[in-house]
Amino acid sequence: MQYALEIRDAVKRYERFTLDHVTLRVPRGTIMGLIGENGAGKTTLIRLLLGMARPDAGEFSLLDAQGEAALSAAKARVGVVLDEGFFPEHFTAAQVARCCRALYPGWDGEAFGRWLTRFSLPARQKLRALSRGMKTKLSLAVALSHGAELLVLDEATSGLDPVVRAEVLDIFQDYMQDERHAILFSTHITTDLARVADEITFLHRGQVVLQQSKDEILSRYGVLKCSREAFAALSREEVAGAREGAFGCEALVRDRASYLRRHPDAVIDPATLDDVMLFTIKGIQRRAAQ
Amino acid sequence: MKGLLLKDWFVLRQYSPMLVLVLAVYAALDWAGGGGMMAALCMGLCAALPLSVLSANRPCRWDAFAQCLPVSRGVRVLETYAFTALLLAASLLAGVALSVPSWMQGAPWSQHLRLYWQLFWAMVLFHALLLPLVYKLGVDKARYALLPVLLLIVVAAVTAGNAGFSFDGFVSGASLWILPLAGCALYAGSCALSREIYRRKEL
Repeated sequence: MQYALEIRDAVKRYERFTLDHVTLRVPRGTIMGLIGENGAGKTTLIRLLLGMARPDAGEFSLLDAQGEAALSAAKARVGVVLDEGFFPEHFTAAQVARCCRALYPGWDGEAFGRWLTRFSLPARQKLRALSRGMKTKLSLAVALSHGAELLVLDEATSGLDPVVRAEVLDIFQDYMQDERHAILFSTHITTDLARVADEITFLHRGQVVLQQSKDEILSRYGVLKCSREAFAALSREEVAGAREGAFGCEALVRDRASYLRRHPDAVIDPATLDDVMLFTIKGIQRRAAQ
Repeated sequence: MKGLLLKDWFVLRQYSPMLVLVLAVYAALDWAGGGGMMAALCMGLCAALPLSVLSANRPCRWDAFAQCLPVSRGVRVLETYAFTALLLAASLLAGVALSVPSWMQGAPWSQHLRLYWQLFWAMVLFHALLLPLVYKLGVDKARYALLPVLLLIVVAAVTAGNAGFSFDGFVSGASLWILPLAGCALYAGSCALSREIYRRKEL
Protein backbone atom coordinates (compact mmCIF):
# COMPACT_ATOMS: atom_id res chain seq x y z
CA MET A 1 0.00 0.00 0.00
CA GLN A 2 1.24 3.49 -0.78
CA TYR A 3 1.29 5.81 2.17
CA ALA A 4 1.09 9.57 1.73
CA LEU A 5 2.41 9.98 5.23
CA GLU A 6 4.13 7.59 7.55
CA ILE A 7 5.27 8.11 11.14
CA ARG A 8 7.01 5.19 12.82
CA ASP A 9 7.70 5.03 16.55
CA ALA A 10 7.88 8.76 17.03
CA VAL A 11 9.22 9.82 20.40
CA LYS A 12 9.57 13.35 21.73
CA ARG A 13 10.34 14.12 25.36
CA TYR A 14 9.60 17.39 27.06
CA GLU A 15 9.88 18.14 30.74
CA ARG A 16 6.25 17.31 31.54
CA PHE A 17 5.11 15.46 28.45
CA THR A 18 6.31 12.63 26.28
CA LEU A 19 5.07 11.60 22.88
CA ASP A 20 5.57 7.91 23.31
CA HIS A 21 6.24 5.65 20.31
CA VAL A 22 3.47 6.92 18.10
CA THR A 23 2.97 5.17 14.79
CA LEU A 24 0.60 6.59 12.23
CA ARG A 25 0.13 5.82 8.56
CA VAL A 26 -2.13 7.66 6.15
CA PRO A 27 -2.71 5.75 2.93
CA ARG A 28 -3.29 7.66 -0.26
CA GLY A 29 -6.99 8.10 -0.88
CA THR A 30 -7.69 8.42 2.87
CA ILE A 31 -8.68 11.13 5.31
CA MET A 32 -7.11 10.42 8.71
CA GLY A 33 -8.71 12.20 11.64
CA LEU A 34 -6.46 12.94 14.59
CA ILE A 35 -8.34 13.52 17.84
CA GLY A 36 -7.42 13.93 21.46
CA GLU A 37 -7.95 16.25 24.37
CA ASN A 38 -5.91 19.45 24.81
CA GLY A 39 -2.29 18.52 25.41
CA ALA A 40 -2.68 15.00 24.01
CA GLY A 41 0.15 15.53 21.53
CA LYS A 42 -1.68 16.19 18.25
CA THR A 43 0.14 19.42 17.46
CA THR A 44 3.43 17.98 18.72
CA LEU A 45 3.04 15.11 16.27
CA ILE A 46 2.35 17.49 13.40
CA ARG A 47 5.32 19.65 14.41
CA LEU A 48 7.58 16.61 14.34
CA LEU A 49 6.22 15.55 10.97
CA LEU A 50 6.85 18.97 9.43
CA GLY A 51 10.27 19.37 11.04
CA MET A 52 9.44 22.22 13.41
CA ALA A 53 10.71 20.11 16.29
CA ARG A 54 13.44 17.46 16.39
CA PRO A 55 12.26 13.97 17.40
CA ASP A 56 14.15 11.98 19.99
CA ALA A 57 13.38 8.89 17.94
CA GLY A 58 11.27 7.78 15.01
CA GLU A 59 11.10 7.89 11.27
CA PHE A 60 9.01 10.22 9.19
CA SER A 61 8.11 10.16 5.55
CA LEU A 62 5.99 12.47 3.42
CA LEU A 63 4.93 11.32 -0.02
CA ASP A 64 7.65 8.63 0.02
CA ALA A 65 10.36 11.18 0.89
CA GLN A 66 12.64 10.61 3.87
CA GLY A 67 15.55 12.57 5.20
CA GLU A 68 15.79 16.31 5.72
CA ALA A 69 16.57 17.38 2.15
CA ALA A 70 13.97 15.11 0.53
CA LEU A 71 11.30 16.08 3.07
CA SER A 72 11.97 19.75 2.40
CA ALA A 73 11.53 19.22 -1.35
CA ALA A 74 8.40 17.08 -0.81
CA LYS A 75 6.70 20.01 0.90
CA ALA A 76 6.13 21.49 -2.55
CA ARG A 77 3.35 18.92 -2.79
CA VAL A 78 2.05 19.28 0.77
CA GLY A 79 -0.55 21.85 1.73
CA VAL A 80 -0.50 22.89 5.37
CA VAL A 81 -2.98 24.83 7.46
CA LEU A 82 -1.70 25.59 10.93
CA ASP A 83 -3.54 26.77 14.00
CA GLU A 84 -0.92 29.52 14.31
CA GLY A 85 1.60 30.61 11.76
CA PHE A 86 1.19 32.41 8.44
CA PHE A 87 2.36 35.51 6.62
CA PRO A 88 2.75 38.80 8.54
CA GLU A 89 -0.43 40.64 9.40
CA HIS A 90 0.16 43.63 7.14
CA PHE A 91 0.29 41.40 4.05
CA THR A 92 -2.64 41.23 1.67
CA ALA A 93 -3.87 38.11 -0.10
CA ALA A 94 -2.36 39.50 -3.30
CA GLN A 95 1.06 39.76 -1.66
CA VAL A 96 0.69 36.27 -0.23
CA ALA A 97 -0.01 35.02 -3.76
CA ARG A 98 3.06 36.77 -5.17
CA CYS A 99 5.29 35.17 -2.56
CA CYS A 100 3.72 31.74 -3.02
CA ARG A 101 4.19 31.94 -6.79
CA ALA A 102 7.92 32.21 -6.16
CA LEU A 103 7.96 29.61 -3.36
CA TYR A 104 5.90 26.78 -4.84
CA PRO A 105 6.90 25.30 -8.20
CA GLY A 106 3.32 24.14 -8.81
CA TRP A 107 1.62 27.38 -7.83
CA ASP A 108 -1.63 28.00 -9.68
CA GLY A 109 -2.55 31.67 -9.48
CA GLU A 110 -5.85 31.18 -11.27
CA ALA A 111 -6.92 28.50 -8.83
CA PHE A 112 -5.97 30.82 -5.95
CA GLY A 113 -8.09 33.56 -7.48
CA ARG A 114 -11.03 31.16 -7.75
CA TRP A 115 -10.65 30.17 -4.10
CA LEU A 116 -10.59 33.83 -3.07
CA THR A 117 -13.84 34.36 -4.95
CA ARG A 118 -15.44 31.23 -3.56
CA PHE A 119 -14.46 32.17 0.02
CA SER A 120 -15.39 35.84 -0.53
CA LEU A 121 -11.92 36.98 0.49
CA PRO A 122 -10.66 40.42 -0.56
CA ALA A 123 -7.36 40.38 -2.42
CA ARG A 124 -6.19 43.82 -1.26
CA GLN A 125 -7.23 43.87 2.38
CA LYS A 126 -4.58 43.39 5.06
CA LEU A 127 -4.63 40.14 6.99
CA ARG A 128 -5.00 42.02 10.28
CA ALA A 129 -8.40 43.24 9.12
CA LEU A 130 -9.65 39.70 8.49
CA SER A 131 -11.47 37.62 11.07
CA ARG A 132 -9.94 34.36 12.30
CA GLY A 133 -12.28 32.41 10.07
CA MET A 134 -11.29 34.45 7.03
CA LYS A 135 -7.61 33.93 7.78
CA THR A 136 -8.22 30.19 8.00
CA LYS A 137 -9.97 30.30 4.63
CA LEU A 138 -7.00 32.17 3.16
CA SER A 139 -4.62 29.52 4.54
CA LEU A 140 -6.82 26.87 2.96
CA ALA A 141 -6.83 28.72 -0.34
CA VAL A 142 -3.01 28.71 -0.30
CA ALA A 143 -2.91 25.02 0.64
CA LEU A 144 -5.22 24.11 -2.23
CA SER A 145 -3.49 26.22 -4.89
CA HIS A 146 -0.15 24.52 -5.49
CA GLY A 147 -1.04 21.00 -6.57
CA ALA A 148 -0.72 19.46 -3.12
CA GLU A 149 -1.13 15.70 -2.92
CA LEU A 150 -1.32 15.76 0.86
CA LEU A 151 -3.08 18.22 3.17
CA VAL A 152 -1.96 18.52 6.79
CA LEU A 153 -4.59 20.44 8.71
CA ASP A 154 -4.27 21.54 12.31
CA GLU A 155 -7.64 22.91 13.47
CA ALA A 156 -8.46 23.98 9.92
CA THR A 157 -12.20 24.30 10.57
CA SER A 158 -11.98 25.99 13.97
CA GLY A 159 -13.29 29.53 13.87
CA LEU A 160 -15.48 28.83 10.84
CA ASP A 161 -19.21 29.25 11.04
CA PRO A 162 -21.30 26.10 10.43
CA VAL A 163 -22.21 27.10 6.88
CA VAL A 164 -18.62 27.66 5.83
CA ARG A 165 -17.48 24.59 7.74
CA ALA A 166 -19.90 22.46 5.80
CA GLU A 167 -18.65 24.00 2.58
CA VAL A 168 -15.03 23.35 3.55
CA LEU A 169 -15.80 19.72 4.36
CA ASP A 170 -17.39 19.39 0.91
CA ILE A 171 -14.17 20.82 -0.54
CA PHE A 172 -12.17 18.16 1.31
CA GLN A 173 -14.40 15.46 -0.13
CA ASP A 174 -13.99 16.91 -3.62
CA TYR A 175 -10.24 17.01 -3.03
CA MET A 176 -10.33 13.32 -2.23
CA GLN A 177 -11.92 12.47 -5.55
CA ASP A 178 -8.33 12.11 -6.71
CA GLU A 179 -7.27 8.88 -5.06
CA ARG A 180 -3.64 9.95 -4.98
CA HIS A 181 -4.58 12.59 -2.41
CA ALA A 182 -4.67 12.23 1.35
CA ILE A 183 -5.52 14.40 4.33
CA LEU A 184 -4.30 14.40 7.93
CA PHE A 185 -6.94 16.36 9.83
CA SER A 186 -6.36 17.26 13.46
CA THR A 187 -9.37 18.84 15.10
CA HIS A 188 -11.48 19.14 18.22
CA ILE A 189 -14.64 19.24 16.14
CA THR A 190 -15.31 15.52 16.00
CA THR A 191 -18.56 15.99 14.10
CA ASP A 192 -16.44 17.16 11.15
CA LEU A 193 -14.44 13.95 11.32
CA ALA A 194 -17.60 11.90 11.65
CA ARG A 195 -18.67 13.40 8.39
CA VAL A 196 -15.50 13.12 6.28
CA ALA A 197 -12.83 10.97 7.93
CA ASP A 198 -12.04 7.42 6.88
CA GLU A 199 -9.71 6.55 9.73
CA ILE A 200 -9.41 7.87 13.26
CA THR A 201 -6.34 8.03 15.47
CA PHE A 202 -7.03 8.96 19.08
CA LEU A 203 -4.12 10.32 21.09
CA HIS A 204 -4.17 10.57 24.85
CA ARG A 205 -1.20 11.85 26.86
CA GLY A 206 1.20 11.21 24.04
CA GLN A 207 0.07 7.68 23.27
CA VAL A 208 -2.17 6.16 20.64
CA VAL A 209 -5.14 4.65 22.45
CA LEU A 210 -7.31 3.92 19.45
CA GLN A 211 -6.64 3.57 15.76
CA GLN A 212 -9.53 2.32 13.71
CA SER A 213 -11.75 3.07 10.77
CA LYS A 214 -14.35 5.70 11.57
CA ASP A 215 -17.20 3.56 10.27
CA GLU A 216 -16.13 0.69 12.48
CA ILE A 217 -15.95 2.94 15.56
CA LEU A 218 -19.36 4.43 14.93
CA SER A 219 -20.98 1.11 14.11
CA ARG A 220 -19.50 -0.88 16.99
CA TYR A 221 -19.27 1.39 20.01
CA GLY A 222 -22.33 2.22 22.06
CA VAL A 223 -23.20 4.12 25.23
CA LEU A 224 -25.01 1.89 27.68
CA LYS A 225 -27.22 3.48 30.29
CA CYS A 226 -27.62 1.17 33.22
CA SER A 227 -27.87 0.82 36.96
CA ARG A 228 -24.81 0.49 39.16
CA GLU A 229 -25.59 -3.20 39.65
CA ALA A 230 -25.77 -3.84 35.93
CA PHE A 231 -22.55 -1.89 35.46
CA ALA A 232 -20.79 -3.98 38.08
CA ALA A 233 -21.73 -7.09 36.12
CA LEU A 234 -19.98 -5.85 32.96
CA SER A 235 -16.63 -7.39 32.10
CA ARG A 236 -13.57 -5.19 31.61
CA GLU A 237 -13.16 -6.43 28.05
CA GLU A 238 -16.64 -5.22 27.14
CA VAL A 239 -16.24 -1.72 28.49
CA ALA A 240 -13.81 0.94 27.28
CA GLY A 241 -14.80 3.44 29.95
CA ALA A 242 -17.63 4.60 32.13
CA ARG A 243 -18.93 7.42 34.25
CA GLU A 244 -21.17 7.23 37.23
CA GLY A 245 -23.96 9.64 37.90
CA ALA A 246 -26.32 10.19 40.81
CA PHE A 247 -28.93 7.81 39.42
CA GLY A 248 -26.96 5.30 37.40
CA CYS A 249 -24.04 4.72 35.09
CA GLU A 250 -23.09 5.28 31.50
CA ALA A 251 -20.60 2.91 29.96
CA LEU A 252 -18.95 2.79 26.56
CA VAL A 253 -19.27 -0.76 25.27
CA ARG A 254 -16.95 -1.86 22.53
CA ASP A 255 -19.53 -3.96 20.65
CA ARG A 256 -23.09 -2.76 21.12
CA ALA A 257 -24.59 -5.28 18.69
CA SER A 258 -23.12 -8.15 20.63
CA TYR A 259 -24.26 -6.65 23.94
CA LEU A 260 -27.80 -6.14 22.62
CA ARG A 261 -28.00 -9.76 21.50
CA ARG A 262 -27.22 -10.83 25.04
CA HIS A 263 -29.28 -8.10 26.74
CA PRO A 264 -32.19 -7.23 24.44
CA ASP A 265 -33.75 -4.88 27.03
CA ALA A 266 -30.63 -2.78 27.43
CA VAL A 267 -30.76 0.94 26.68
CA ILE A 268 -27.78 1.54 24.43
CA ASP A 269 -27.24 4.40 22.02
CA PRO A 270 -24.74 4.61 19.17
CA ALA A 271 -21.62 6.35 20.42
CA THR A 272 -20.32 9.50 18.83
CA LEU A 273 -16.61 10.18 18.48
CA ASP A 274 -16.94 12.57 21.42
CA ASP A 275 -18.39 9.74 23.50
CA VAL A 276 -15.54 7.44 22.50
CA MET A 277 -13.00 10.09 23.47
CA LEU A 278 -14.63 10.99 26.77
CA PHE A 279 -15.32 7.48 27.98
CA THR A 280 -11.98 6.09 26.86
CA ILE A 281 -10.17 8.79 28.82
CA LYS A 282 -12.37 8.06 31.85
CA GLY A 283 -11.55 4.38 31.52
CA ILE A 284 -7.82 5.08 31.40
CA GLN A 285 -8.05 7.36 34.42
CA ARG A 286 -10.05 4.76 36.34
CA ARG A 287 -7.54 1.99 35.59
CA ALA A 288 -4.65 4.25 36.55
CA ALA A 289 -6.34 5.05 39.87
CA GLN A 290 -6.90 1.38 40.77
CA MET B 1 15.02 31.99 -2.16
CA LYS B 2 13.30 34.48 -4.46
CA GLY B 3 9.99 34.01 -2.62
CA LEU B 4 11.66 34.64 0.74
CA LEU B 5 13.38 37.79 -0.56
CA LEU B 6 10.04 38.97 -1.89
CA LYS B 7 8.40 38.34 1.46
CA ASP B 8 11.12 40.35 3.29
CA TRP B 9 10.83 43.12 0.71
CA PHE B 10 7.08 43.37 1.43
CA VAL B 11 7.86 43.50 5.17
CA LEU B 12 10.41 46.26 4.54
CA ARG B 13 7.98 48.25 2.46
CA GLN B 14 5.77 48.95 5.45
CA TYR B 15 8.66 50.94 6.96
CA SER B 16 9.41 52.84 3.74
CA PRO B 17 7.23 55.96 4.26
CA MET B 18 8.83 56.64 7.62
CA LEU B 19 12.27 55.82 6.27
CA VAL B 20 11.93 58.15 3.30
CA LEU B 21 10.76 60.94 5.58
CA VAL B 22 13.66 60.50 8.00
CA LEU B 23 16.18 60.30 5.15
CA ALA B 24 14.75 63.44 3.59
CA VAL B 25 15.10 65.36 6.87
CA TYR B 26 18.65 64.11 7.38
CA ALA B 27 19.56 64.89 3.76
CA ALA B 28 18.33 68.46 4.16
CA LEU B 29 20.30 68.88 7.40
CA ASP B 30 23.35 67.32 5.78
CA TRP B 31 23.29 69.64 2.78
CA ALA B 32 22.76 72.63 5.02
CA GLY B 33 25.73 71.62 7.12
CA GLY B 34 28.10 71.16 4.21
CA GLY B 35 27.57 67.49 3.57
CA GLY B 36 29.55 64.34 4.34
CA MET B 37 27.44 62.52 6.86
CA MET B 38 24.64 61.31 4.60
CA ALA B 39 26.06 57.87 4.04
CA ALA B 40 26.73 57.42 7.73
CA LEU B 41 23.17 58.44 8.48
CA CYS B 42 21.82 56.09 5.81
CA MET B 43 23.84 53.21 7.10
CA GLY B 44 22.87 53.91 10.67
CA LEU B 45 19.21 53.77 9.72
CA CYS B 46 19.53 50.81 7.39
CA ALA B 47 21.61 48.87 9.90
CA ALA B 48 18.50 48.55 12.01
CA LEU B 49 16.30 47.34 9.14
CA PRO B 50 17.39 43.67 8.97
CA LEU B 51 16.55 43.33 12.67
CA SER B 52 13.20 45.05 12.09
CA VAL B 53 12.40 42.62 9.29
CA LEU B 54 13.37 39.64 11.45
CA SER B 55 11.35 40.93 14.39
CA ALA B 56 8.26 41.10 12.15
CA ASN B 57 8.44 37.30 11.85
CA ARG B 58 7.68 36.65 15.49
CA PRO B 59 4.05 37.87 15.94
CA CYS B 60 2.84 35.85 12.95
CA ARG B 61 4.96 32.80 13.85
CA TRP B 62 6.50 32.96 10.40
CA ASP B 63 9.31 30.51 11.24
CA ALA B 64 6.80 27.74 11.95
CA PHE B 65 4.91 28.43 8.73
CA ALA B 66 8.13 28.72 6.72
CA GLN B 67 9.03 25.22 7.88
CA CYS B 68 6.00 24.01 5.88
CA LEU B 69 7.38 25.55 2.68
CA PRO B 70 9.64 23.71 0.22
CA VAL B 71 12.61 25.75 1.41
CA SER B 72 15.19 24.27 3.75
CA ARG B 73 16.33 25.92 6.97
CA GLY B 74 19.76 26.45 5.45
CA VAL B 75 18.32 28.37 2.52
CA ARG B 76 16.20 30.48 4.86
CA VAL B 77 19.34 31.52 6.75
CA LEU B 78 21.17 32.23 3.48
CA GLU B 79 18.30 34.42 2.43
CA THR B 80 18.52 36.47 5.63
CA TYR B 81 22.22 37.06 5.06
CA ALA B 82 21.67 37.87 1.40
CA PHE B 83 18.85 40.30 2.24
CA THR B 84 20.99 41.97 4.91
CA ALA B 85 23.92 42.33 2.50
CA LEU B 86 21.62 43.80 -0.15
CA LEU B 87 20.20 46.29 2.37
CA LEU B 88 23.66 47.41 3.46
CA ALA B 89 24.85 47.75 -0.12
CA ALA B 90 21.73 49.72 -1.00
CA SER B 91 22.31 51.99 2.00
CA LEU B 92 25.87 52.68 0.83
CA LEU B 93 24.73 53.50 -2.70
CA ALA B 94 21.90 55.67 -1.41
CA GLY B 95 24.23 57.52 0.93
CA VAL B 96 26.72 58.14 -1.88
CA ALA B 97 23.99 59.28 -4.25
CA LEU B 98 22.61 61.70 -1.66
CA SER B 99 26.11 63.09 -0.99
CA VAL B 100 26.69 64.08 -4.63
CA PRO B 101 25.08 67.54 -4.27
CA SER B 102 27.44 68.43 -1.41
CA TRP B 103 30.42 67.13 -3.39
CA MET B 104 29.43 69.32 -6.30
CA GLN B 105 29.68 72.23 -3.89
CA GLY B 106 33.23 71.34 -2.96
CA ALA B 107 32.93 68.83 -0.11
CA PRO B 108 35.91 66.40 0.03
CA TRP B 109 34.48 63.44 -1.92
CA SER B 110 37.50 61.12 -1.71
CA GLN B 111 37.66 61.45 2.06
CA HIS B 112 33.94 60.85 2.30
CA LEU B 113 34.08 57.82 0.01
CA ARG B 114 36.86 56.29 2.12
CA LEU B 115 34.77 56.86 5.25
CA TYR B 116 31.66 55.38 3.64
CA TRP B 117 33.62 52.32 2.55
CA GLN B 118 34.90 51.76 6.08
CA LEU B 119 31.47 52.30 7.57
CA PHE B 120 29.97 49.81 5.15
CA TRP B 121 32.36 47.09 6.24
CA ALA B 122 31.92 48.03 9.88
CA MET B 123 28.19 47.41 9.40
CA VAL B 124 28.96 44.09 7.74
CA LEU B 125 31.07 43.12 10.76
CA PHE B 126 28.34 44.31 13.08
CA HIS B 127 25.77 42.06 11.42
CA ALA B 128 28.24 39.18 11.30
CA LEU B 129 28.29 39.42 15.10
CA LEU B 130 24.60 40.08 15.53
CA LEU B 131 22.85 37.56 13.28
CA PRO B 132 24.06 34.36 15.00
CA LEU B 133 22.87 35.87 18.27
CA VAL B 134 19.48 36.54 16.68
CA TYR B 135 19.20 32.92 15.58
CA LYS B 136 20.27 31.68 18.97
CA LEU B 137 18.39 34.05 21.27
CA GLY B 138 15.74 35.81 19.21
CA VAL B 139 15.76 39.45 18.15
CA ASP B 140 15.10 41.12 21.50
CA LYS B 141 17.61 39.12 23.52
CA ALA B 142 20.21 39.41 20.77
CA ARG B 143 20.07 43.21 21.01
CA TYR B 144 20.83 43.02 24.72
CA ALA B 145 23.45 40.30 24.26
CA LEU B 146 25.31 42.41 21.73
CA LEU B 147 25.76 45.33 24.12
CA PRO B 148 28.57 43.68 26.13
CA VAL B 149 30.28 42.69 22.88
CA LEU B 150 30.19 46.27 21.61
CA LEU B 151 31.34 47.47 25.00
CA LEU B 152 34.32 45.10 24.82
CA ILE B 153 35.23 46.44 21.38
CA VAL B 154 35.08 50.02 22.62
CA VAL B 155 37.15 49.17 25.71
CA ALA B 156 39.72 47.39 23.53
CA ALA B 157 39.93 50.37 21.17
CA VAL B 158 40.30 52.86 24.01
CA THR B 159 42.91 50.67 25.71
CA ALA B 160 44.85 50.35 22.47
CA GLY B 161 44.66 54.09 21.96
CA ASN B 162 45.91 54.76 25.48
CA ALA B 163 48.75 52.32 24.87
CA GLY B 164 49.91 54.45 21.95
CA PHE B 165 48.40 52.56 19.01
CA SER B 166 47.42 55.02 16.32
CA PHE B 167 44.31 54.28 14.32
CA ASP B 168 44.95 57.03 11.78
CA GLY B 169 47.26 55.07 9.55
CA PHE B 170 45.14 51.96 9.87
CA VAL B 171 41.98 53.84 9.09
CA SER B 172 43.34 55.66 6.08
CA GLY B 173 45.43 52.91 4.51
CA ALA B 174 45.21 49.23 5.35
CA SER B 175 41.53 49.27 6.24
CA LEU B 176 40.67 49.80 2.60
CA TRP B 177 41.60 46.22 1.90
CA ILE B 178 41.80 44.59 5.36
CA LEU B 179 38.23 45.46 6.28
CA PRO B 180 36.70 43.93 3.12
CA LEU B 181 38.72 40.74 3.54
CA ALA B 182 37.91 40.45 7.22
CA GLY B 183 34.32 41.45 6.59
CA CYS B 184 33.73 38.82 3.90
CA ALA B 185 35.44 36.09 5.91
CA LEU B 186 33.55 36.91 9.09
CA TYR B 187 30.23 37.30 7.28
CA ALA B 188 30.66 33.89 5.62
CA GLY B 189 31.67 32.32 8.94
CA SER B 190 28.74 33.99 10.65
CA CYS B 191 26.39 32.54 8.03
CA ALA B 192 27.77 29.04 8.57
CA LEU B 193 27.37 29.42 12.33
CA SER B 194 23.80 30.70 11.98
CA ARG B 195 22.91 27.79 9.73
CA GLU B 196 24.14 25.36 12.33
CA ILE B 197 22.27 27.13 15.13
CA TYR B 198 19.05 27.29 13.14
CA ARG B 199 19.33 23.67 12.01
CA ARG B 200 18.91 22.53 15.59
CA LYS B 201 16.33 25.07 16.70
CA GLU B 202 12.78 24.15 17.66
CA LEU B 203 10.37 26.46 15.87
